Amino acid sequence: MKFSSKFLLSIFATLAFSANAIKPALDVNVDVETLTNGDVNATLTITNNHKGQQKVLSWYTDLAEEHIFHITRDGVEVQYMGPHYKRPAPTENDYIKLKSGQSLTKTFELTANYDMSEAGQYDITYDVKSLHLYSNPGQLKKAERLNLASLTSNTASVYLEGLLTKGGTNKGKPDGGGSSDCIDGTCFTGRCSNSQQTEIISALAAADSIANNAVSYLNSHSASNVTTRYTTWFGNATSARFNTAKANFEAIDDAIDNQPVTFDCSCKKTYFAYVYPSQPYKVYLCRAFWNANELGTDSRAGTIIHELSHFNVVAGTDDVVYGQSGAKSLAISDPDQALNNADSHEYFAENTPNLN
Amino acid sequence: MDERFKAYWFTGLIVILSFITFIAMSTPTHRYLQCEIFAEHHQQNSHGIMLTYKVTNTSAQSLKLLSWYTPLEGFMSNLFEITDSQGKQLAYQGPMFKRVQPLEEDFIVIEANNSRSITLNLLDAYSLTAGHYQISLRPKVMQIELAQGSISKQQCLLPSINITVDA
Ligand SMILES: [Zn+2]
Repeated sequence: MKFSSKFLLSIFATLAFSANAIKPALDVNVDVETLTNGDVNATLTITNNHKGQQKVLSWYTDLAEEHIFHITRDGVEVQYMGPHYKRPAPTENDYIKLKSGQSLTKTFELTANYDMSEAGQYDITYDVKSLHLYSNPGQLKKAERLNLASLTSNTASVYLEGLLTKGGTNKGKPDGGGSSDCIDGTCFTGRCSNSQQTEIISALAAADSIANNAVSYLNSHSASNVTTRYTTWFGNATSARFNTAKANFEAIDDAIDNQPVTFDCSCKKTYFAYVYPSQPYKVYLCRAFWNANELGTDSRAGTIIHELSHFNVVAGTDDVVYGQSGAKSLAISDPDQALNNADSHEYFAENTPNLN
Repeated sequence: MDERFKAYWFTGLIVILSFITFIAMSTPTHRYLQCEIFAEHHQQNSHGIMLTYKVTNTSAQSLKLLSWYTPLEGFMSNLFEITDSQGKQLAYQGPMFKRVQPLEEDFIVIEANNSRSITLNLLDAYSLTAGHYQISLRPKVMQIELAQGSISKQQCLLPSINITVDA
């Protein structure tokens, strides 16, 4: 009894679909907008033009879940860098229901998931294919037979000028190797959006300037004539300690100028940043980095100095103590450990408040 | 006094008899905490190389210890200095985090005369192979919050311990 009623329903559904022929029940539209910070927003609208209710697999309405846009730059496919999930077969809860005439609208930032850093004409189409796209069994069977369980939109086009710099800062740095997502030797992984890439490049330039300032301080002083700027963060100077400070900042400055630094934007935790000291020169940026100012105490520039100092091939520093007050006490109690503490290097370079 | 000495010897004897352990006790240069690290002297690489860290509140009051940079939070920083028989220091393979301000959950409450301990697998952060190693705790600054809200800082300066790793 139960079986036969299900069977009847399924026949009815197939008939209902056939009556509508191949004409898609769902209408998909994509609009694209470029923002002044370099990001690109795509607005997806899926409308049910069918008489009855339609169900769409929710994964296929979310860029954070699936590769839902097909993007080309000057006709060449742009690589998708977002996640791919291996999933079990969908259940009823994985579908979004759309009543007749109802539509669903969502906006997604594209540059975090597709490499859109180069200049060119970008064509963006919503395009998904899956046998699980619809939950209507009739539709599914028909789609299986015709091999077309897909949903496609119009193509929206946009011209982007690209993030490649206006010349100047590139000092012939080698690329990180392999990754195509690099600007002047600085590379990006973990889905950095265009605006994040721009902010990182700017923070790195700020880090370069405070590192240069630290190096020139150390070049114009010696252990016998250090000032409060040095003693506040590194304590009593001996010539061995002073030379360690100098070597450390020269190495940090060299990393910024000449080494292939990679920034990763995938961390969503509350930290500023983290690194694996044994894996130069990859720096993982987290939420507090994005909330920080470019310059000043615990700034973006200072965080980059801090993180680079950790790499064993740079200065091999540790986190002995955190924060300004901790670093100041350490300078007094244990100057050797201050020269081994990443925050002490950061605060010396940030020099905020300004000490002579 | 005699009783206490007996108790120490008895405890020491049990430790030695039940498993061969190397214990390094901190020199009490402070009033609040005492740290220890210990590990079985002979360990097999295939079973993980386990080291236990123990911190004891030797004061008469309850306190809160910031877990940052201590073994109690696991490998979030370079915790140990490990040198092989050639005196070469092993590189730390784990991450180091730059954090914001500590939150309540970053503190661990230790009641008076109580202790907290954690056992870590050194292979999670260092590439030890067969051989002899000397291990010491890196001298991080521990931040202690006392009941009245006052803050005290302390470093645990411990002698190193030796282990032998069998392939
Ligand atoms: Zn750090």
